[in-house]
Amino acid sequence: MQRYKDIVSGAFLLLIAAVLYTATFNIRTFMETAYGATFVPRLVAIVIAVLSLILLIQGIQKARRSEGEEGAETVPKSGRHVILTFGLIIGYILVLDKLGFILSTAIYSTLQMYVLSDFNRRKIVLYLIISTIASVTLYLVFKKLLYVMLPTGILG
Amino acid sequence: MLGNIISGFADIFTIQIMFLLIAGVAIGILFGAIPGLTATMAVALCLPLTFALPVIPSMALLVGLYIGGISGGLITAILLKIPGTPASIATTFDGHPMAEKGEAGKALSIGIISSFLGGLFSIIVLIFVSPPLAQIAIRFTPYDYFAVILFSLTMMAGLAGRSLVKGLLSGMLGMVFAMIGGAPIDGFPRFTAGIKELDAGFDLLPTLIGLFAISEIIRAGEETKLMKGARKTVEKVGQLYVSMKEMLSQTGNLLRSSVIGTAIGILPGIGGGVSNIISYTVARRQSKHPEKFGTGIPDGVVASETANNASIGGAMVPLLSLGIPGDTVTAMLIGAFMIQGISPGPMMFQMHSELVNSIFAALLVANLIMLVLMMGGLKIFVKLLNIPREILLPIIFAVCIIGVFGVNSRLFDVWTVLFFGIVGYVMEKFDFPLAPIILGFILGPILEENLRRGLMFSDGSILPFFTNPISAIFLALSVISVALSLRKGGMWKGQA
Repeated sequence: MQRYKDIVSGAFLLLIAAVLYTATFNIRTFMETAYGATFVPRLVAIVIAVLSLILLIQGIQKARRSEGEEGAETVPKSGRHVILTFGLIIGYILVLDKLGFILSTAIYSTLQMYVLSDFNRRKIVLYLIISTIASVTLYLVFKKLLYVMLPTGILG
Repeated sequence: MLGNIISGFADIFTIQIMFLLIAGVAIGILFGAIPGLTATMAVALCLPLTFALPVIPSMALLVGLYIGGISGGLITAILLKIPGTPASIATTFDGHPMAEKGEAGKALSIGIISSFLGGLFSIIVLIFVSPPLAQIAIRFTPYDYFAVILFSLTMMAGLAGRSLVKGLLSGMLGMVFAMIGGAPIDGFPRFTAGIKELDAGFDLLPTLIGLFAISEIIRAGEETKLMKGARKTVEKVGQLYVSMKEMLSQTGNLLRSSVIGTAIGILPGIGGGVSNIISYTVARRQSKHPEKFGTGIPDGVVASETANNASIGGAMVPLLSLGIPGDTVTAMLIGAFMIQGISPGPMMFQMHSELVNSIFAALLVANLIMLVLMMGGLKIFVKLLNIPREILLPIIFAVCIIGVFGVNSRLFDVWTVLFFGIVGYVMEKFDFPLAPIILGFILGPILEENLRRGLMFSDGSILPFFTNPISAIFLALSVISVALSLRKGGMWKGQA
C-alpha cells in the first residue's frame, strides 16, 4: 500500500475532478454569464485534474524506482483499533437520539476507553465509573448552566 | 494610540472576562502540552461556547487559548522530548538534552520567559502595525484581495507538508467543500445533491471540529501501543530558576528570534509551526559556537520558544487588518468573528474600534497570565500530563459532540463531524497536510467572490490583476513561493 499511496490518491482525485466538472452542468443559473456560479467550480475542477495528474505521474515514477525493495508493507496490527473506533462512533451517533446524551455517552466512552487502552480488562470498571461521572457532569454543565440543547432520550 | 489601548484595558477588566482569559490560557497550556492535542483543537472545541457569549468575552477566551496553546508545548518538548505542538519541535533539540543533564527547571524557565518576551514583542508590533495596514487595506480592490488570498493559500500549501502538489490539492479540496451550498454573489445552490440540509453549505464548526479533533481521536486508535511506551523520561523538574545575567546574555538571540517569529507570523498562511524551526536554524548559523547546538544549550531553547510565541502577534496582523488568517488558529478565529456577525478586516477598525482595542489588551493580559500560570503552576500541568490519553480522548469527543449538536440541534451536523473526521483521517493517511484544507475552506468563498467581482468590473479582462501594483506584487510573490517550495522540497516539515 505504502508504495501506491500517491497513485491511489492521484487517481481518486482525478475522478473527483471529473465528477465535479460534470456536476457543474446541473447548477441552475438564470442566464449563461461567463463568470456566473459555475465559473469558479469549473476552474477548480480543472486545477484539481492537473494537480492530481502530476501526483499520479510522480506516484508511478516513485513506485517504479522503489520496485524490488519491498519493505515492511504489512497492514499494521492497530488497524483493528481504528475500525472499532469507527464502529463505536457510528453506533454512538445512531443511538444518541434514542438513548439520550447521558446514557449513550457513558456507554460509548467506556467502550472507547477500553479500545484505546488496548483492551485492558482490569481497568474496565474504572473506565465505566469515569465515563458515567463525565457524561453526567457534562450534561448538567451544558444543559443547566449553559442552556445547550442536548438529546434527553429515554431518561428524559 | 496609548489612549486606545487604555480604553481597551478598561473594557476587559471585568470579572467575567478575566475568568475567561485565565481559563482560556490554562486550557490552552494543557492542550499545548499534551501531545496530539493542539492549540487549533482547543480553539475548535471552545468555538461553540462563544455562541452564548458577547463578542469581547468570546475573543478573550479564544485569545487565551491561542497563547496558552502555543506556549504549553514547551513542557512536553523539554521533559518528554515530544513536541506538545508542532510549534515546539525545535525546542526538543536543546531543551530535552538540558533536562537530561539535570537542568530541566532552568530549561523550562528559559522557555517560559522567552515565550513571554517573544509574545510581548509581537503584540506590540501588532498594535503599531495593524491600524495603518488597515488604512491601506481599506482601499484594496477585488484584484488585490484575490492576489493576497492566493498568496496565502500557496504559502500554506508549499510549507505545510512535504509535497507542494499535495498541499495545493488539500487547499483545493477545502475550496470544493466550501462550494457546496449557495454560491457567493448570486446564491445559486451548488452540488447539494438534493440534500436539503446542505442548502446553506457545510457549517463551519462541524467541519473544523471534524477535521481537527475527530480525525485525531480516530488516529489515536493506531497509537495504542505507542502511547504506553512514551511516558515520562525526565521526572525531576527541580527549581524553576534562571539568573538575570543568563537571560541578559541572550538579548541578541531574543531580539533576532522575535523578529523572525513575528515576520513569519505576518506572512499569511504560516505560523509558529514553521517559525520555531527557521529561528533555530538561523540561531545556530549565526552562533559563535554552532557545534554546541543540540547538546543542550539555552540558545536553542530561546530561539525556538521566542519565535513560536512571536508568531502569535504576527499572525494576528493579517487577521485583523486584512481579514486573512495567518495560520490555522487564526483561521478558526475568523470563524469566531463570523459567529458574532463581524467580518474581520479593515472595516472592523472603523466600525468596531473598541473590539480591536480590547483584543489588543486581551492579548497583552493573556501573555502575562501565561507567564504567571506556567511559572507558578508548572507542577500541576506536569501532573495533568499523566492523565492517560485513552481517558482524555473519549471525553473530548463527547465535548465535540455537545458543541456541534448544541449549535443547531441537528443530528445532521453530528454526521457532518464524522464525515470530516474520516476525510481528515484518510488525508493524513495519504500524507496530505490538513492545514491548507482549512484555509481553502475558509478563504475559498472570499477568493471566488473577489475573482468574480474583479472580472465583472473589468468585463472579463484578466489584465487588471497584473497591472494593479498591489495585486501584481502578490501574484508575483505567489509564483515565487511556489517556485521556492519546489526547489526546497521537503525542508520544513512543520505544520502551521
